Amino acid sequence: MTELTVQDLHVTLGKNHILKGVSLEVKRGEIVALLGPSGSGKTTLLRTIAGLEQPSHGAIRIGEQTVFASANKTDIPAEKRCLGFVFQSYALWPHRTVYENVAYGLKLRKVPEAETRERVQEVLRNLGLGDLAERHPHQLSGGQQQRVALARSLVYKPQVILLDEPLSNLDAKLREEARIWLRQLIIDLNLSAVCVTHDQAEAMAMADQVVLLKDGVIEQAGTPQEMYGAPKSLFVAEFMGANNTISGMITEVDGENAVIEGNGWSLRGRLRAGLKAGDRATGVIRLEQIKLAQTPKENSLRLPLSASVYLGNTWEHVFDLSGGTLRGYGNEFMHPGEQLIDIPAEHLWLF
Amino acid sequence: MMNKTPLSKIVVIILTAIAVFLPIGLLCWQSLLDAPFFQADKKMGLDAYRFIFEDPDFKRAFINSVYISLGMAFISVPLGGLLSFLMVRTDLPGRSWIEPLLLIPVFVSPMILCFGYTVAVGPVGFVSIWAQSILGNVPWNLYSMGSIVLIAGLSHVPHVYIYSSSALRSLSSDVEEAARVAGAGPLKVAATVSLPMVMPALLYSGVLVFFLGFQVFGLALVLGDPEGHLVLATYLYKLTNKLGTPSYHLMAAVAMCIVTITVPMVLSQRFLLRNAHKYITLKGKGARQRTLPLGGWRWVAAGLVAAWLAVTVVIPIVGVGFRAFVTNWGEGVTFIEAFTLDNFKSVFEQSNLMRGVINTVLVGVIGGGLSVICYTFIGLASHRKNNGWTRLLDYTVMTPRAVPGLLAGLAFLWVFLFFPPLVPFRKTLVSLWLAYSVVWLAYGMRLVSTSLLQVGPELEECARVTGATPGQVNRHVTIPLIKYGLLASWLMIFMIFEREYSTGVYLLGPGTEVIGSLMVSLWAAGAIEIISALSVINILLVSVGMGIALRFGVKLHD
Repeated sequence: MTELTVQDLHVTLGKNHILKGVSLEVKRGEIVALLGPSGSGKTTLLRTIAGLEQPSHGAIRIGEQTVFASANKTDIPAEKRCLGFVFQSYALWPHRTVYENVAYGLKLRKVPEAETRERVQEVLRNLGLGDLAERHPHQLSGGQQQRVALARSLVYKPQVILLDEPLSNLDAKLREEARIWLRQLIIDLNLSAVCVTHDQAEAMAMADQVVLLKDGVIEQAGTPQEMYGAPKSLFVAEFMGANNTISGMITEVDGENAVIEGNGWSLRGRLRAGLKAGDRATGVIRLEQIKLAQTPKENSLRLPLSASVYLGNTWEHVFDLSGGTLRGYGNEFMHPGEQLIDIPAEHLWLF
Repeated sequence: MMNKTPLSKIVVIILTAIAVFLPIGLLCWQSLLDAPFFQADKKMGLDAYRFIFEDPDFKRAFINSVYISLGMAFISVPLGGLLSFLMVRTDLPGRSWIEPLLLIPVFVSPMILCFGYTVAVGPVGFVSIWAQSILGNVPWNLYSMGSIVLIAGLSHVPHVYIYSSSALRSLSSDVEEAARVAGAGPLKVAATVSLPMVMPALLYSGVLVFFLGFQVFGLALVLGDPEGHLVLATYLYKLTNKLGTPSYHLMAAVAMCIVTITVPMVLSQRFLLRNAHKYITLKGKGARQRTLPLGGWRWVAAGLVAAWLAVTVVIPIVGVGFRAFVTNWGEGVTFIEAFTLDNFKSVFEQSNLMRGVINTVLVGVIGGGLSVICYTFIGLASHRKNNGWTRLLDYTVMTPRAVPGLLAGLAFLWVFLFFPPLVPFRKTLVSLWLAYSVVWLAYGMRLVSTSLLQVGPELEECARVTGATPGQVNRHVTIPLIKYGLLASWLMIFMIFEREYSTGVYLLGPGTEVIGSLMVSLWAAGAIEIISALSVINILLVSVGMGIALRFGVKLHD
């Protein structure tokens, strides 16, 4: 069942055309991550769904209800859309205690006092905040504040919850724990969630669907596996992982395979764009796909090693390749000198 | 947020615009008539302008006003800039207690200060008598045009100080340190980095002082009287005496001349303000400041500041305080034998004076509170919105700065005389309160909107998403968060309302007396003792406000 539908949404802020026709669907129990570089319009999209920005064109439906439609001038104000929204800064009201922050949504909905108390207590307990109810926001740690913000947006049981970089104010270690915990919580409550992030690892860890925005349009949308493993454009390929990029010229095309040649090297790869022999092309290969080889194979290169960097869990080796570099991971330190490396053809994407 | 402006906010904006533009419109219309606007036989025409332009007194008053404005700008901008540099950037001794003293001329009415000057350094002032006993004659003439310009300039130094010190404060010292490291000496740093960066603020305050110069009234009334030096505002005030009948059309024409000069300057300030902060992009964390050690110059600088304080604050305040406790003063009179409390007794015995004291407190405390409530409504009407309505409000709020209190009071008098729904309030404090609120609209709105801007927008948006209507957001989130800012604004408005004297001049009548306007009318009658006593009471009221502000850490300026 589709909980949230956005159709051909256009948003203009001042003179800037921020969103230029964005459509997406979020099903019940599904988590969608909005990913993109800064200025791509991901936060604007989230705020527009919430009713905090006004679109110039398009439609938004939440459950059965149309909350915005430019065609018949429907525009339900933010407070009547019944959404949960977690702000990047958490936006806890500093003049209210944790209890008052969380209870506010119920007070506005005229829920009886006793029931309010029960429901607030329950959500606080579920989020591990049971004994912090009487504190003020400034007396809480970053992680606690984040959970209060979440409790506040969940207590009135919205169908859809919107999260604007919910983890960006936590420190690195806490963030990795929180994204698993947050995903589990949303699944347990059978909510639909839209989460803005600029961190591709966070997006993949949390979401069922990743939507990558660029300059106000959706560049690609799909499961994390599709986004990482089968990017449709150079932009997506570069955004989604740690990559080597090499440029050269296509010399041979055979179905979806092709050969790319540069200064003193030639490699087979998979075509991911309509290229023909003689075109200039960019080859992209993930760092983890570069393998050290013992014996030369079809797609091997013998390259000088210029540096080995210790990263703790692995070594990163840097090779010189006709003016540029190629980076890959290895298990141990290597001495400078010529090394044979293997570049699997199915992982070398040509754009 | 949504772009639609709800009806309630439109109503607030329209009411504000009416309160500001109706009186000014009335002035403008009256100036184009050849008789008071309520007379039946009036005709449209430029007679009023023709009359004043042919009057040599008007010409003299105009030239004097230009002198005062220019002199004020040339005296107060360099001194104010220097003072703020010494206070903010150097290790000048006693900075913390000098700060509130510096601002006294802003919060004490110029009537009182000038009054203090006549008592202290006037021809028979106690300082003058002392000087004469040593030098054989008094080497200054308080009532000359030069003295008037000098005093006007010195007493507006704080206005410049307020703006340039806030610019200097928000300037992080690391930009200076970067210049030092790059190889510039201290003087080079000041000339090429610090000074150019606060230049826009100095220019802004220069324009401010210049148009305040055209609004000077109390100062010229007290010091200009003895030798007949008129300025535009005192010329207007004396027109009635001169012609024997209230000649509204002539007064309106003079008023329009003043407004024509000041309005473009107020508008240009808007443009300058945008520039005034153009170099102050990064605030907060980076703005740590180091003070520049003055070394041997420390005491020279301290002496300079002390001299300015003595001339601008100590002499007039001591003068007026002294005069309030003596029966008479002149050559050969000693303080002990002339000492008396009768001046205060007569204030408490005369019902109109006593009412004036009570009304001053009422207007400051209750009126000030009501004004802050109104300013808050106006502030909320344009909060986080930018459309045609808020731009209208912007200009509406700025406009009263261009209108001297005396003129605003005159215009409100006419409104309360002839605008039927308001006629019953003519003889009540409501008329005075409304005029005060409009005259200080720009100041009050700045106080309130500074608080409003400190509320993070996401705190309000979050309440919306949680289910609160815009009205509930205001009541439950925005107003509770700016509560302390509003209380501080109330205090500041209280002090400003205590100080105000010119707005009430034309509204003065039984029931609407306040200390400020009583002093203006008593000055004409020459009741020196009573004025001194009222001045002391007025200074005490302002001091109470200042004391509370200092006690609770309310910032006296930003």
